[in-house]
Amino acid sequence: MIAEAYQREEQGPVITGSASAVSISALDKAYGSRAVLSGLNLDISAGSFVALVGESGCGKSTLLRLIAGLDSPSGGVIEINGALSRGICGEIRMMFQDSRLFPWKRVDRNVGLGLAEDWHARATSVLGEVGLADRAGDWPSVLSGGQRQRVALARALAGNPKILLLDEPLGALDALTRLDMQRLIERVWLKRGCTVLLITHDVEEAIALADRVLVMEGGRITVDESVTLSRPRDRANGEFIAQKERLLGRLLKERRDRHEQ
Amino acid sequence: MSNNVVVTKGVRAVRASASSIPVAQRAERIYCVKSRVLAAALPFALPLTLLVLWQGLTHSGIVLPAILPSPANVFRAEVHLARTELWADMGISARRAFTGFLIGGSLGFILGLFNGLFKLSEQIFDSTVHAARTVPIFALIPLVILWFGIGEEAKIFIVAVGVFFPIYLNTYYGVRSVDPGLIEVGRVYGLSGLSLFSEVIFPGALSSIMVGVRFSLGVMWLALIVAETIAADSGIGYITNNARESMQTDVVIAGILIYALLGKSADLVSRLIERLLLPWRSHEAGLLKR
Ligand SMILES: Nc1ncnc2c1ncn2[C@@H]1O[C@H](COP(=O)(O)OP(=O)(O)OP(=O)(O)O)[C@@H](O)[C@H]1O
Ligand SMILES: [Mg+2]
Repeated sequence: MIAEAYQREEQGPVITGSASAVSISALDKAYGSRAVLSGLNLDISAGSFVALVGESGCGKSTLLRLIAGLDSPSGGVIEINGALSRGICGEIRMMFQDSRLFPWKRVDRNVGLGLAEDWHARATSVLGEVGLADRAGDWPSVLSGGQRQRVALARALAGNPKILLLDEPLGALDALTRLDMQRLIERVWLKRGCTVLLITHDVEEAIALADRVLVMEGGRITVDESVTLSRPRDRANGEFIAQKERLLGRLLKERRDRHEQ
Repeated sequence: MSNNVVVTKGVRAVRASASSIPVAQRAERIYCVKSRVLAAALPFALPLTLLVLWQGLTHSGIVLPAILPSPANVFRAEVHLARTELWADMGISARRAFTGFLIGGSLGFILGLFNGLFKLSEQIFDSTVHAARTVPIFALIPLVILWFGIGEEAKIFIVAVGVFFPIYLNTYYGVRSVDPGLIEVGRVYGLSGLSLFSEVIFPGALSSIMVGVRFSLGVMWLALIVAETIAADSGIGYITNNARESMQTDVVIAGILIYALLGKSADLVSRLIERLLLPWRSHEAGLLKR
């Protein structure tokens, strides 16, 4: 199934890369007098996988919340699939660092959240997709941290969203579970052809998964690099390492510059 | 060792596997079973000890029957009550308690929900409710008697007022303390208004609401007993108060024990409801115990 998905990728993305899934111009967001985002521009083409890195507190989650429609911008324009964003919409689903499963709903009901009558069939099918079909009847409290994130991913996928916003979903996982989840996310993306915007602190993760890596600083996007390595990506590959070192160097330099100011 | 075996007798799992496990582990398991039996028996130890002590003190004549009649006499009084007015009075008391509970509880619940959910409602009501809460309910009794005499309304009113506050407070704080992250998830996944309330906010507040319910059950009996002792012509409080006037200590104690029984049953029922309403909670607790 993985090989098949990769093959499809070689033939070209499922959704053509020309249309914009998310288009943001001159976006401002301030909380009180503190400006978090200022004049941010970003265009994400449909079906692409974009990773966003940046120092803690620079406004990554704020940007995601604005795209998801959970909060409204102080200025600027956000377009989703070509239409002006009007708050929360069914084409966007979001996943967080903590799984945020409802403790009072069994796993299948968590996954079926917000779906219509066919919730059960769809929950069962996406749970199969993330490899947890047999845990449908469990309470979230008995799952491990990695399993909870799988359920959260299944919940995000259950509504067949066009855009998936992932806010550091793997931040709290151990190294091995993390690798597993990275593979799962890549597989799901290749299979479904949805647009993914992933926030991560891990530059290696960004390069391993994304077509494009963005760095956010001072409330805007300052680095925008494409990753053209073929999939599946080999992390020991020279080019992979070179790109990772370059990005890390860039991040370190920005931090040093800021501290000198 | 031999008495350990006696303790573990009848626990199949331990007996079946005892021969195949190492000694240290076996000792640990036996200890575990022993502690479980002990845990089941322990709550009964104190009441039984008190009963024995009670019988000893009264039987030997150290304590006069007028002060403390023997358990046998209290039992006889209990049986006598049961043959005469007890059931009717118990029914009357229970009806007062639950009517008051329903009225005060639903008002507290509704106001707690509104103040937890809506800023405007909170601004209007919350500080006044907190001011009213500082008035001891029993300070209201003279006023209540002036208003309602010693009729049913008086008792129901006192109980309702007493029950209102714990349910109000716990509902309010329960709604307020629902994890904002979960509310955010609910919104991203298309819930809003009533569906957000029924799927996220209410279940999130429910365990706190149940704490309020259990607490208010205690207040319910307390308020009822005081109201019945001071102003009533029926009910268990009336029976005991009447018995005091004719120096029937055994009847007084019988009445007190019936209150304890009623209170304990109300608590058991609320635990049962809690287990039904919060199945994920009892599961978590089960995990912790194991
Ligand atoms: N509701 C809010 N009210 C006031 N300030 C806020 C609010 N939400 C975020 N901020 C501020 O906005 C800034 C950016 O926060 P944000 O959560 O977007 O950072 P982040 O890049 O996601 O950081 P991290 O990597 O640590 O998650 C922070 O300084 C934060 O204090
Ligand atoms: Mg963040």
